[in-house]
Amino acid sequence: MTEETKEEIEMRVLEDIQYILNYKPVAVGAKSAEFFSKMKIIKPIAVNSYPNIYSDLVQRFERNEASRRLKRLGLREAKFLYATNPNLFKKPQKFIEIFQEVAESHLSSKLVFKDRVKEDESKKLKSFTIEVHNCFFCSEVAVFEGIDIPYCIPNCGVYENMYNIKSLYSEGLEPRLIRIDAVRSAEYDGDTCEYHVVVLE
Amino acid sequence: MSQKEKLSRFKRMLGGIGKRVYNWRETKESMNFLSYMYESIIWEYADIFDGDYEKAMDTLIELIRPMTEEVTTKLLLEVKVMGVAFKSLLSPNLSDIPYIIQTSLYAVYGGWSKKMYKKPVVVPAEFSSENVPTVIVQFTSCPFCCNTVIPAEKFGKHRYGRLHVLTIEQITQAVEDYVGNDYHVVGREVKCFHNGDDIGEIRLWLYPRDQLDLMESNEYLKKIK
Repeated sequence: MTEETKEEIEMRVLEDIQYILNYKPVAVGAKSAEFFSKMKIIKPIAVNSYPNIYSDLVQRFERNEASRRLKRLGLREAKFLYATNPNLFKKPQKFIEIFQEVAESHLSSKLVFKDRVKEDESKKLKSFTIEVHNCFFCSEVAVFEGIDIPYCIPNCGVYENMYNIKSLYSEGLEPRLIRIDAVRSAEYDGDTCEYHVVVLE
Repeated sequence: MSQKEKLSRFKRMLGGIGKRVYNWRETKESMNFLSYMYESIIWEYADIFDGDYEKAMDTLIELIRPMTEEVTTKLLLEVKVMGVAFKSLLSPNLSDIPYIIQTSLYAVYGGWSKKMYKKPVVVPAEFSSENVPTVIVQFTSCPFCCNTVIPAEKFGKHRYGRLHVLTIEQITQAVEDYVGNDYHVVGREVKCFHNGDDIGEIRLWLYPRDQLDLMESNEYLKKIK
């Protein structure tokens, strides 16, 4: 996938923060995301629209562009989540807590953080791997054979933007910006997905 | 109203237990997250079609419909709870449709279905202005459109909650096909919070397959895609 530069990511995240701060829903009578915050839907119905969206985008665009658009689905979801949950947006959270909160509260997944790589001298974090158990997208879906784009790329976008938006808004978090790429998606029951997190400095 | 055999009290009771057990044991996800995903997909397809949201919705419906058909059919015809298949709780009598829809919605949304939906109503063909049996499903809040910022006018003849309608439409179609009623089910969201209405309302028209020409005189189908 063509990687976004640090400056491009920063610009996009700042635009997302503006969206969140100016957010005004149009269907006022429908109640709000806070009202529905405890509502759940069974997974087979929740994810039934995604397989055909994935396969359509993959057929419609070449690999890099399809990956970019699939990831963008998740980047936007993070933006919508913060826009409709102002308390979560403003809640002080530590680095790992941000990922865990979205994984457990919204995606019914469990995350394992591993393979941390630090700089030799400063001991600053350079990269790490997230292992996703019970992925929102992958765990009940037949694998698309012959397509080398990880199926759950949108999730990378969700985690990346959940962190980056909060980081740039609260201005105290270390690291300041990250990029997450999907390495592999689960292929059978009980398998896990893997995302690579790179610190952008 | 049809004189076909109605669901017995015992079967209704079984359905009442089955929907709860099924919903309890099934993996569940945040409803809000589904609504964010839906909004994000609409933005993506609007981008693909240069800001044409109506065309985006046309494409999305064609993409989503087959999977909705497959999943709802599987849910109704293959799922068993404690050895009892959901399909054994289906009935060809149209007066049972409200019960079947309510049970299915509970299986999908759990107790929230009672907070959101009013009891569906069946209007017999002789009292329906479209001259076919009509099911009216009203809801007092909507987790689909509550988060959107896209103005309703941009959707043209579409309504925001088409995915929502597709699910209920396909549940009803799968039931009618299974019980052998030769109906073609067509659903539309005739009232929507997103369009400024104070309640949501989905109407399902059950067109006998040998009278599909009646669809041409349905005013809602002319106005809403």
